[in-house]
Amino acid sequence: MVEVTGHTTGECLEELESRFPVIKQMIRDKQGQLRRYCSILVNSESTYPKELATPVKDGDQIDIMVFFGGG
Amino acid sequence: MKDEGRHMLTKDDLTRYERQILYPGFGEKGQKRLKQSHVVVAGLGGLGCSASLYLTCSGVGHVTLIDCDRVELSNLNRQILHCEEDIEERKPFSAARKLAKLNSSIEVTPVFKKITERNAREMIKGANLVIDGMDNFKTRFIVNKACVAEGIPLIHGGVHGLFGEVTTIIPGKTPCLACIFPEVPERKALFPVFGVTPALIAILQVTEAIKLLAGFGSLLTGKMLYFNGGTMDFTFCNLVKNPNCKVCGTKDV
Repeated sequence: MVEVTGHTTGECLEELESRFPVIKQMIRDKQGQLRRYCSILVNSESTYPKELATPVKDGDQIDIMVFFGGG
Repeated sequence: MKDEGRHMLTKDDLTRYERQILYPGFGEKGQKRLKQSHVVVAGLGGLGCSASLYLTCSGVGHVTLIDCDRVELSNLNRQILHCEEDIEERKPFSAARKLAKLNSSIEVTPVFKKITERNAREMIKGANLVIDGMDNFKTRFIVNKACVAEGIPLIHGGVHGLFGEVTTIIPGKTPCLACIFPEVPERKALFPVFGVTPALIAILQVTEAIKLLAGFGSLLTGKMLYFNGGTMDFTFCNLVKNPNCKVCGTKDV
């Protein structure tokens, strides 16, 4: 778990991506859009369709979920 | 088998399943429940092969195997029910032959058919549970929707490389796949996978299936278990139902 700051999920993710650039490659496509096999949860709740624009407050937990589609 | 024999355990059953019947909270009652159960394994790749193997040896009374592909050489690093001599054979039939040798007292039904939006509900109707062994997002979402519509639990599993995930979906009670991923992700080209990853994830899926069918233990409901074989980490992510979910939501969208 990593602590980040920001008013929205998008701001928090940007800080995370600047500290861990590999995460950006994993969760965004070439246009910078969130990949569809990624989901952003705030306190376990889906943020769809505002994955990068959901307001967050101090103490919220953001989870990045990746859907592993192989079988 | 043998519908008429499903309500009781035979002498052979008591011997074959002796070691699991000893498990506290399971017993003969749990074994009988497995014997009376029908599980659909949707997809016979790395996940489906290992899952159906353990469903069969644990004594689930009826296992239906669905896949529309034929065995290829490149499958053999992970799809452990298929052998070199099975190349070009229809996967459900190749798998069913091995399972029948492992446990002739259960019924195994091979179905060589593609699961589509139109036939999905019919293909799973009447099952007690569905194991998600599929290899693509689109069919997973079709089966998720069909399971919600039919009220049938779905044990989801997915893999990529040395990563894997498992969650148990109980319609009306837990989030479904569309609660978490509202849009069907794009299809990915060839992905890396070691055989051990789907094997491990499938065994976790069957562990969930046995508990759910027999009615003991606690389940991976409302949470996703993630496995990272590169670091040997197991982590959880809690999930809640999305009231706006297009598949199982309670609000009009």
